[in-house]
Amino acid sequence: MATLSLRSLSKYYGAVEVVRGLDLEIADRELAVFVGPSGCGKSTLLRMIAGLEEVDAGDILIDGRSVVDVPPADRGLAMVFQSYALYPHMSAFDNLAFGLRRAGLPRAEIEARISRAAALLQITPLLPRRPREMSGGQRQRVAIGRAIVREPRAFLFDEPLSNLDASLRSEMRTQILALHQRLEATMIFVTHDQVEAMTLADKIVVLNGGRIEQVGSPMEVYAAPRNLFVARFIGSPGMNLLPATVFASTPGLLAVDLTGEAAASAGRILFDRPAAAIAAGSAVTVGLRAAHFAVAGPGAPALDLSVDLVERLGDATHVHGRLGGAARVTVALEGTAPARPGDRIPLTLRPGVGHLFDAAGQAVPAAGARLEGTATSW
Amino acid sequence: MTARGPGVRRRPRAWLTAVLRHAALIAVAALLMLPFYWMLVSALKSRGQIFARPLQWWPDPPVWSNLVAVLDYPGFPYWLLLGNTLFYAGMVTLGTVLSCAAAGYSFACLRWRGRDTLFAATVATLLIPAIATFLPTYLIWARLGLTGTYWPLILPAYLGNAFFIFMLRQFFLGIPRELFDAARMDGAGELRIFLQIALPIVRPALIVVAVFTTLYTWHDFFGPLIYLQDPADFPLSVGLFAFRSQRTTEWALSMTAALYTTLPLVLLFALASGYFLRGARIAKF
Amino acid sequence: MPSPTRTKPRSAARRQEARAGWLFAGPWLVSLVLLTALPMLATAAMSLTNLGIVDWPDFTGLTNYDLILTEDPSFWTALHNTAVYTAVSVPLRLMLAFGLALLLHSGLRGVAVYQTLFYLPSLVPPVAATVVFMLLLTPGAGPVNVMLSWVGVPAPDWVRDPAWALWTLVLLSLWPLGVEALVFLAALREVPAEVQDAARLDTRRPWERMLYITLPLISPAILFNLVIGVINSFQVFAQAMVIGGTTGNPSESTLMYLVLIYRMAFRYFSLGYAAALSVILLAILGLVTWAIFRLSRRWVHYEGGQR
Repeated sequence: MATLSLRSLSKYYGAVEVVRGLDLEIADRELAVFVGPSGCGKSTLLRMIAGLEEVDAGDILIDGRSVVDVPPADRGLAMVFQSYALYPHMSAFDNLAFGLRRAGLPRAEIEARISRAAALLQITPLLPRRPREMSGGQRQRVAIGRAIVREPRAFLFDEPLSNLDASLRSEMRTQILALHQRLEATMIFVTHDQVEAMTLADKIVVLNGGRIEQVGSPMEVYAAPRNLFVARFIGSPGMNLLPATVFASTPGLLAVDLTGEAAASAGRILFDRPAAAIAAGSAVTVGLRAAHFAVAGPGAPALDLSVDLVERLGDATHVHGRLGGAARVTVALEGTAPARPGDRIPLTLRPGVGHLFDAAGQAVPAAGARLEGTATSW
Repeated sequence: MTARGPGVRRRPRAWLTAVLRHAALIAVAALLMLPFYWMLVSALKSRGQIFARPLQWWPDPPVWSNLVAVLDYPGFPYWLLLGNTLFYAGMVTLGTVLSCAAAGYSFACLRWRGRDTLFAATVATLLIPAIATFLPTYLIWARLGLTGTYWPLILPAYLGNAFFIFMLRQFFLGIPRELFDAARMDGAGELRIFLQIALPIVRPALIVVAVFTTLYTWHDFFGPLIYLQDPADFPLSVGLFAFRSQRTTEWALSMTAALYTTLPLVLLFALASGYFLRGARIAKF
Repeated sequence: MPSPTRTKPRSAARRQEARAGWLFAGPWLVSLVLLTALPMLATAAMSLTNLGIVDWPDFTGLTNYDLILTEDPSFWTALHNTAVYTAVSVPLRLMLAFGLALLLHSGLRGVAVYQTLFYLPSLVPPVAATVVFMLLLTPGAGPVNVMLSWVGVPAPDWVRDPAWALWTLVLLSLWPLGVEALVFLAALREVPAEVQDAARLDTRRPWERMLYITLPLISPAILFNLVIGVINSFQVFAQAMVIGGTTGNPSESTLMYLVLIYRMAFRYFSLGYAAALSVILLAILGLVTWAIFRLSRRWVHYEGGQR
């Protein structure tokens, strides 16, 4: 298995820079997930690592050795494509054997590798069949088998689950995780689905417009998004991003007013021990996930939620409404919470949660957010 | 980080292969255009210039009168030949489009007993060359007293052509069945469904058929040669052949004549090039 | 559309549909019988008579065939010329067209311009094209020999030398290869890009990717061009007539099979004899086509389980 390094990697399509000077380190046996919206460059980046796209500037190192001038077949990588890309005119067995035969491996070795991979993926009865005689899920496993038999230094997956239907997708996710543990392999996975990213990754790389927005473990990226983009992208339902204005700023406390109807305050939120000071009157954004809210007890300080829509999911209830008449929020309550459109619910914040973003969209770390009149969170 | 890292590569190797590819394509294009060029250039030469040594790559001076002289030259009545060709091509194209659309539609969208067997037979005839049938066919027309006319050449077109039937059937197959079922439920008759629903949808394919039929008919030599006897009936292909047979040394005028035989098709291509290229793609089923 | 074949009472609508089916296909069915099936049988029947020389033919059995095979040197010449022409021009044209398609497929800009240019030669009517080529290749009047001398190749007399006249026809057959190139190009474009990417990961050698992946995936297009090419080459007529007339000048070197049939039928009026010649050619053509299809099972791969 292998470590992967990207140094100042750049690529242009004509005049447009689609990959902008990226730096990234992926450790041995890590499962890294490149995630981002369509067009962010994640697939291009993967293909550059594989050698299928030319690099305009920068370097790619596998196990410390530069591979930018090395043809794809010689980089010691294997790739599973979104459309599986099986050779339609060959049986599954021949699909798996093709690369090995071209590399000159002896027949016994080829057969041994294929039978091991087939057993692992449970595709042994499929080996004599052609791709058109298989279902989507079967083809995908054959495609993974083709990657495994190469015994590569790292696996590359280009949105392999996007063509599967929902139930199959979650099953395959589990299988890929199991595979990762079993093979102890370095893997890079590209997806646009942040749920997939969160469940699979050791390390998430959030990409946007050819740039890396944040790199970190799923929990880091979820609990400590570095900017508005990551905050918005990760997590489902999406984080509530509420415009606010700074009311007062001291070294230990930052008070912001949520913007309500007609610029009135919809509620004041205090951030303890902010990492930076922000001038009063500045525009900021408060980030609160749906799960960060709770129903306030009687008489406690509360934000006023007017309910517009209610979604009941069984184990939770998603309440969509507005704070102070203007700021739209989604709040997650218990499954049994009584809520109907038109109701008004007093909300408080759970301790130790909440995010603050400055006018430039960058996160301002703090110890947590609370309503005025509630105890400090630590 | 947007700093250009060490060794900004402008991909020299990829650029070089692109240049080489273009060079090869330009060389091939030049070779393929050479006959056209020579046809044009020779059309403007006098008899002496054709055989001048060293070879004249551009006539000096160009004999522009050739361009006009050949239009009414004894042995090459251009306008008459052109008119015959247009008549021939037009009539055949009309018949082909009508008959092949009807048959293709029938094979694709209508259900009747024996349909698939007969379609298989149709496909089989694609492999049967004209040699197999032209002799008895000629005799039949001769017995009917219709040799020396265009009937033997035009009438079969109104019955159909295996290749275009095959092609149009492919297009008709692409029409969703529901459209027809809905129309039938609305009480539309079969003819109306064909004319008002199916035909408009496959219109581009019909144009492709028309364009290619015109091309093939314009090129047709064998058919007119065996059925037509009066030189006044000849289309351009046979007319040019006759001209060449008699005036083997009139190279310049032969080139001009060849040019005029080709020009209308180039014009057609200029107007409908998309359909030509589309047709080449369709042919690969 | 699979339809059950059990007979059940047909609704009026279905009967109307079936009637329309027969009606619409009717003219073509008439053609199948009157212009294809019956004439084919008639050709075979004619070959066994002496039709043409006398008005009311006698049944002569296999006399025509005997004459053709034992006493007609022109038959062997025409057969030889046609076979050589086909065997050389078809593979050559396919390979060159394929090479051209590869060049066009590399995603260069301006492909549309090249496509148009390569297509133009196929517009030129065969008679006109032959006339132009004859001038092109005439020593002293055409540039081909001059261009050959630039490269230091000795220039043959393409038109008057019997050893070379056939190659004029072969060269002429290569000119309109733009159409075949476009068919190949369309087939190349259908090969999924990700399959080609997968191949790049499996082997670094481009010729291996070509041999094991690309060629098999475009093999239906190759078969199509091959069969059409063979059938058309066997029946070459206009070009041969322009160059060599009905006698295949010079010295029968350009005598093609269909020209021979034409000569027998329309100059010597030996229709029975011409029919026998036709039958022989059909048999050969049928054999060759069958062989191609039979062999094709080994190297042609169809997507989606067709045929």
